[in-house]
Parts: sequence; C-alpha cells; structure tokens
Amino acid sequence: MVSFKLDDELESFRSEVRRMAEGEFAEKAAYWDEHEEFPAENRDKLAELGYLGMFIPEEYGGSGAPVIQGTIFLEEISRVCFNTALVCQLYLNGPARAVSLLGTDEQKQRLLPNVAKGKTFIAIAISEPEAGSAVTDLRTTAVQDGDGWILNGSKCFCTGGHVADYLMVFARCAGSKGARGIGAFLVNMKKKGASVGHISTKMGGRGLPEADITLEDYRVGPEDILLVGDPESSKTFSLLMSSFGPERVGNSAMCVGLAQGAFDTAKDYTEIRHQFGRPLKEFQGLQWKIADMATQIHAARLMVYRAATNPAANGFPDPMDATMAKLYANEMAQRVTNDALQLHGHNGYTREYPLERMVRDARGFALGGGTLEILRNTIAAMIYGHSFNQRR
Amino acid sequence: MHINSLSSEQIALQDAARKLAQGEFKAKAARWDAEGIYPDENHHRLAELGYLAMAMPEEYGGNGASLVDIYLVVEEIAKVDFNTALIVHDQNVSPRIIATCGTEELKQQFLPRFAKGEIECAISWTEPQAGSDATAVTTRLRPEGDGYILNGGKIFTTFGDRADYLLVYARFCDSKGARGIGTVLVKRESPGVQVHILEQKMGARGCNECEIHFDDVFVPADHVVTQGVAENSSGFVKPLSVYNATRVGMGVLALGIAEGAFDEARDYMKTRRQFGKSLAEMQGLQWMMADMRIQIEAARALCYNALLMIDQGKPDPTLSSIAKLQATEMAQKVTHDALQMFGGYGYFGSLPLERMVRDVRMLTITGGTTQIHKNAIAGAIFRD
Repeated sequence: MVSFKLDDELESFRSEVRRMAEGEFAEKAAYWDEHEEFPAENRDKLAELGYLGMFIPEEYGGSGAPVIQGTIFLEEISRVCFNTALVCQLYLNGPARAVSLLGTDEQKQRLLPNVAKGKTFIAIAISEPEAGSAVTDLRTTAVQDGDGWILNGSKCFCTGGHVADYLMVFARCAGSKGARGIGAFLVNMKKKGASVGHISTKMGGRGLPEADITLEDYRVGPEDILLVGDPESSKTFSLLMSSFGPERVGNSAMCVGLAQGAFDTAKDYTEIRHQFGRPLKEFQGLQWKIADMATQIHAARLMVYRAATNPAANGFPDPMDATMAKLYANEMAQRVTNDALQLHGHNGYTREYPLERMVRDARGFALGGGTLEILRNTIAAMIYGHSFNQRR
Repeated sequence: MHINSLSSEQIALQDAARKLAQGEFKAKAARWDAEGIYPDENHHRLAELGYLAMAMPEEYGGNGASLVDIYLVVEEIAKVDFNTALIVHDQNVSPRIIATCGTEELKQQFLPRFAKGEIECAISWTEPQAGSDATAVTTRLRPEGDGYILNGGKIFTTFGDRADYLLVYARFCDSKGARGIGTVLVKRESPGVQVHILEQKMGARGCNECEIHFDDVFVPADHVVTQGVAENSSGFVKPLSVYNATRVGMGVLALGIAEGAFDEARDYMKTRRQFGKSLAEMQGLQWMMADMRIQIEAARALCYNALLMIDQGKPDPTLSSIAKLQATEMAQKVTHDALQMFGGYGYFGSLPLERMVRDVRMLTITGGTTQIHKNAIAGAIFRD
C-alpha cells in the first residue's frame, strides 16, 4: 500500500524538533552568519540531546534512526538556523556515515561514540582546485609506506575544515587514472603533515567557511585507512560515492526547511503589512505567488520523503530519487527564498529581516554536493542507462 | 536609433567610461562592499572628469547630455562596480527633478553646485507605511512665516547620511492620496533633522540607507520644488515624470551588472578545464550562455528604447515600466547563472559574482517593485 503520510510518531518527532529549534536556535541564527562563527554551542546542545548520533548504530553510541527521521530533523533545524543545520548535515550524513558503513569495527568503536557526543568533528575533503565537478581528476596521491600510506596533495572546499578533528580525504594510488584507484583515508588534523590554508569567506553558510587543506607527506597509520583504492577498478570510488546518497537526501531536506522558514516568515508578513489600505495578503497577485511557493515546497518535500523511504537494493537511497530530489529542491529553495524576500519589499533587503540571509544561504545548495549541472548529467545517464563521456 | 548604431561621439564616450571603469574602478570594487564604505575617491574622480554634470543643462554649468549618453556611462561602470555606478545614476534623481520642476531661482542656486560636485542631494520619499503605496505619505508641512515647518519620518533614504540636501515628499495640506503632496529641499544640517543609518543590507553596501526624522524643521519658501495643492496632484505628478527616467536607469544599472557577470563567466569558461576540456566546450553550458546573451540583448533594447523616447520628449511610462521590470528581473537570473559557471568558487567573496548577485537583488524592489510595475502595465492594458 502506498502512503505519503507520516505516522504519528514522526509527526510528534517533528513537533519536538521544531519546538527545540525555535526555542534554542532562532535567536542567534543571524549571529553565526554575521560573525562567521561555527555554531559550536548549538552543536554541543544537539549532542547532549542525542541528535547528532541519530544515524550512528546503537552499538556505537547512536540511536540508529531511519533516514526519514534524520530528514525531518534536518528540515526542521534548517527552517530556523541554516548554519546549525549544515553542522548537523556533516555529523549525520557526512564522513561519520561513511565510517559506520565502510569502516572497521575498531574505527567505529574509536570514532563514532565521540561523533555522537559532539566531541569529534569529521569534515570532508574531496574537491581540488582542478577537480571540482570532474571529481575523478583528483590528484592527491596515496603511496604505500609499510602498513600505512603517505598522502600528498591540496584540497579545497573543505566545509568546516578549519575546526575539524579529522578529515575524510579522497586520494588515489599513485599512477592510477580516472575513477580507478581512488580510495578514502582519515586524516588526523593534529598530526604532522596536515595543515589548514586559506579560509574563504562565502556568500552564505558563513558559519562554516570553506578551508583549503594541504597534505605534505602526511602518514596515515593502518588504523585510519578507510578504503584503499584498487588501481584496476573504479569499484571503491563507486562505493564511496554511493555512501553519499544520504548526503543528497539531507541536502534536499535542508532546502525544504530553509524554503519553509522563508515561506512562513513571508506568510506572516503578508498578514500584518498593509499597503493601499489593506494587508498584502488581500492582493490577488501576491496570493498567487504564495500559492506557487507553497506548491513548490510541497512538491520538493514529497520528492525528498520518497528518496528517504525508498532505498535501492544496496540499502542506499535510490540514486534517481535522491538526485532528482536534490536538483528540484536546490532550485526550489533559490526561487522560494527569493520570492519571500520580494514579498517583504525593501525590508527584505535589510539585515533586520532574515530573508536576505536565507537567499544567500540557499544559493550554495546548487554548488555544493554536486552542482545542478552534474546532477543533470547523472539523471540523463540513468535515463539512457549508461553514462556519457564528458571528455568527448 | 538602434543601440548598436551609436554616433561616433557616443562610442567615444562609452570607450572612455569603459577605460575608467575597467582601469580604475574594477580593482577597488570589492572594497566598498566588504568594508561598507562609500567610494569617495571614485566620487571625486567622477566629478573631476565631468561625469557628475552630465544631466545638468548647459546654462547651469552642466553638459546637457541626453539620457542615452548618461546611461551608456552608467552601464559601463555598473559592469564592474555597482556602488560607483549608483553615483552617476543619482544625478538623474533629485538634481534632475530640480532642473525640470524647480523655479529659475532654485535652479540658479543649486544646479551649478551639483554640476561641480560641490553638493549632493538624496531623495527622501518612502515612509515606513508608505512603500509601494507611495501616496500614503504622512510627512507634513505647515505654513509658518516665510516658509514651512516640516514634521514626519522617512525610511530607506539612500545616501541620506552624506547628502547636503534632501528632496522630501510631503503633504502641504490635509489631503488624501496624491493630492496635496509636493516636494521641498531640506538642508540636512537644519535643526530638527535626525539621520539614522539603517542596519546593513544584502548588497549595495557602499551606499547607506537611512531613516530620517523631521522634528519642526524650518523650510524656507524658496526651497519648494513642487507645490502641493489640495485641488490636484500636480505637485506629486510633476517629479514623477522625471522619475520615469530614473526607473529605466535602474534597469540599465541591472543590465550593466548582468553584462559584467556575463563577461566574467565567459572569460572563466575559456580557461577553466574540467573533464579534459574547457567549460566553453560543453553544450549545456554553451546554451546557458546563449540564453543569457539573448536576455541581455532584449533588456538592453527595451531600456535604451525607453530612454530614447524620453530624450525625444515622448516619454512612455508603460514602456519605462516594462524596461525596468524586464531588465531587473533578467539581471537576477543572469547573474545567478553566471555565478553558477564558477561552481563553488562563485560562492566565495574573493570573486565578484556573489557580490553582483547581492547587489542586483535590490533592483527589483527599489524604484517601484516588480509588482508595482505590473500594476502599472496592467493598468495601461485595460485603461481603454
């Protein structure tokens, strides 16, 4: 039987998260943006309440919640404070998830309970200056050194890398090309050979700047090897990428939440703001705009919930569902936040209202975690049943 | 006239502005935004080169340039530095209202000083409860002695913190709607004027928006620009006709930003390589660029056509609204798409794209929101 309705348990979970987010995070949402500060106190609060370990199996200190629950969680946090949601996304769907799916028992014992407690923050380092959308062009190398590996290379767009304890780094076996030979290693930022370079100021998501990372003869001990790439096959890379399926669902959920937050603010404003002797909501043109915004949010939410509840055979979200959800939700969030700003007139352009921040925050979705264009490539490849050589 | 068949003088004017913008203003543009400061040194440079006297008639020390000429300059500057482009655009707001509607005495007194860049004037119209509903103005003038006493409050007065004079929309009598509204010049340093700089905004961060309070401010009778009268709305409508040009000007500012963003994207796409080839070689991205170019050309034609009609004494408010709306909406889309070409780098403050997106966002709001222009266009469609 098909049902698109959340059960009572999930609905009451939503109410609980919404109450907490509004009570704890709303007031300082502008602060993290303005001061470009990592919302550490919110992270600590969420860890204390057990939310950061939602996707971590119970035996490693988490609660092993289903994807749909984390989706609702991210949606509600993002509705109130995007920077806090971004932190949650990294904890829930970032490298910690890859570790719990692909790591050794020792790694899980060592890392995951501390992730759940908010004590260990693992950021992700994939992109390089010359390997953005063309991720398999990455050049960071891994050379075997006894029971460990030596890493050399430069990474960029490492979100929150400047405050990370560990990085999950994608690197290739020396001499390999393309998707073959790419593996992943955990890098302890306190150890010699790993350093943070330039930290970039961004348009939005300013609580988590993007760091450049340099690895110079960094030695990965045997305990921090996640997956060694096979120079003869791209299987390791595919496995790593599929472990990011939930990341796309989380990204889409944040879009829905952010858009919902902007929508709710705009709806309230159109009820109290009067022009021409009546509230804005009395104007048909604006009613229709609000109707369009709500419809788009609704459509995106259904796509996200489907992606969260309809796993493929390997247990990861169905790639078509997850990719389409991200593409649609990314563009929807840009449009809806922008329309919500417009409904506020010039007030929307000022920092006294949250709209300009929401528009800036929304802009990053279309760039991070796979650009819109890469998502379209992926969707087209699934439609035709084979990927297209982008190098032709 | 076709915008691609400019006279040789216009081409020279455009080239000079382009050299100034690319050579001097471009490198500094990020600073005004990042630090939230007014581009003072650019202002002086513009005054020195005569770009701030373009709109003034020759008999008052100006160049008497056409709107098309002025906006060819604005467009070039907006390609690289929106805050500085606003300075050139601004002479077509209050000074032009004075030049068009003021008495001979007022013109003699003020226009030469505008032309020399000695004084600046900001327009002070919007009130907290009179935004899109622009005739809901409640700021009041009451006759006293050889002048008036002004009371009320304004919001979103751009440059209100630095302007020597404010051109204030106010009611001359107990009236409703557009009737009774007129305009007066108020010296910012007059007793009773309080200026408060508003919290920072998304873009145009080199130009402050201000909240202004008038508390029993004396305005001499000879500072009336248009007299408000109870019987009709002439005191309100006369400056509005000048405002037609200002609106199209907002469109040209947007057009300039879009072209600047487009140029950045085009250059980047030639050099940035992914998947072993340049971005310029990817069909999906080529088509995005083609769509952007089409939108830019359409807006450009609309804007200059509307300006030309005003220059020829045949202003068409509907075409002005269409040009403003189309160009500002276009520019939002185009700057977004240009940013997209840069991937994650576009989101960084070290490149101009994210600034351009933030700057251009203002223009579908200020100078009449898109929704207000749709009202005007729809009104014209169904008027007959």
